[in-house]
Amino acid sequence: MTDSHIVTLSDRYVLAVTRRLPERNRTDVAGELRALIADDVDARTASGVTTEQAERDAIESLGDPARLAASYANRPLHLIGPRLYVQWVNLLRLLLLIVLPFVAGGVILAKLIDDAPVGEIAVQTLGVLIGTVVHLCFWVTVVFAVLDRVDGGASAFEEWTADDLVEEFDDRWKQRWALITSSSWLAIGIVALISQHLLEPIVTPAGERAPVFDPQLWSWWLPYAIVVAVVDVVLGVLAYRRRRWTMVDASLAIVLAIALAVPFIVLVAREQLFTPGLIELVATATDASIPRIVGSVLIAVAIGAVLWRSIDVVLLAARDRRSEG
Amino acid sequence: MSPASTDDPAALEAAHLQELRRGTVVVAALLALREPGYGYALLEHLAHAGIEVDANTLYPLLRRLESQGLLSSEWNTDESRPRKFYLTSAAGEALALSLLGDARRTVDALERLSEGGAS
Repeated sequence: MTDSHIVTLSDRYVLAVTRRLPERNRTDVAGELRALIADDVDARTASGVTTEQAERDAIESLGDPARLAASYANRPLHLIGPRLYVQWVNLLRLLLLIVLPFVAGGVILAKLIDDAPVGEIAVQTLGVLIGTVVHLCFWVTVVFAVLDRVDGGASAFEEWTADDLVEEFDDRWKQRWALITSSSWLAIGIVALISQHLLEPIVTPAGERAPVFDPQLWSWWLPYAIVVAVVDVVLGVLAYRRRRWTMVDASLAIVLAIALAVPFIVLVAREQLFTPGLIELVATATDASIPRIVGSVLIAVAIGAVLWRSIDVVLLAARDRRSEG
Repeated sequence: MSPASTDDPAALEAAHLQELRRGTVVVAALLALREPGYGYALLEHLAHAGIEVDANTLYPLLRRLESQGLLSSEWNTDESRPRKFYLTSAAGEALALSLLGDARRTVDALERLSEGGAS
């Protein structure tokens, strides 16, 4: 080795490798590495290269010290390896699918209650969504990176079996997803109904606050609607657990949909759905034709929802009858 | 390691060659170190024997084999330059011979396939 520098290139290289190693291996690896480089330098100078150049070449043939250290320490040179990659992707996708709609719904609902303008709602929702995506991806990835570096980390997940293949083509996950979404909508709807009653977001010209829906509806229609909706979700859960939709289930679901829609349509038509005075308020604030248009749209949506639900459950029942053979 | 692009035949062959040779370095090192040897000499020895391996692959591999009990090691301080000498253990030799037998059977099978394809 040359003594031209106080610290030679080789010394620096050895230090760069060993400081990335666990304490107990350091001196041993350092000693061996120093001898290996010196041997290589000797061989290279013997073939006519200057000592300085030989040292450079010897070190460069060993490559990036971080890589060599990882190789010595048996550390992976990847964040998430092939053992866990598939589970990582699947979990991330599932979490994003479940969490993002809830977060978006929550922010929009809170902002609506707050009576925020549309632009602000959009910006806020987008901001919160981006933040949620970053957090979810980051923390899930951290957990997987740790699992990949722990002995038996991969055993945190069940081994793939042929049964998983059945699950994959069976649209059970779709049914599960449908259940999750329908129960989430139910929960969101109930929270929205109660919060509009408690928070009273409407401000009358007289400066008084009022809920959106007529408070008198709590005497029968709103509790009735909640019960019908809950029964509908329970029906879906039962059918899911039985693994099939029967024609009886389908008929029941249609009856429930109609039982919900008919009183709703009557209330809208009689202008009894909203807080007394709200319709006049909207009419004077915007245009006299607006309440009529909103009413027609609500009735059309209700009829459309009943038709949609009916077709959906009949198709489900027909499919399950076919597969029963 | 990602598969090489199929556009470059030379790179493609190099990638497959690397796949084929993976694992043979272990057998070669275990067989060669039945005589005690140190890292750089082993590298030269293997190169002479026709086993190509990079220094930065071989040196960490020796440590790994040692931690698996297939090699033993000892520092030789007789010369001015202290070197770490490795020696294949009984378990290491048994494993190397078993792997060598398997490699032979694999080559035989490939030969038979190659002849069968020619006829």
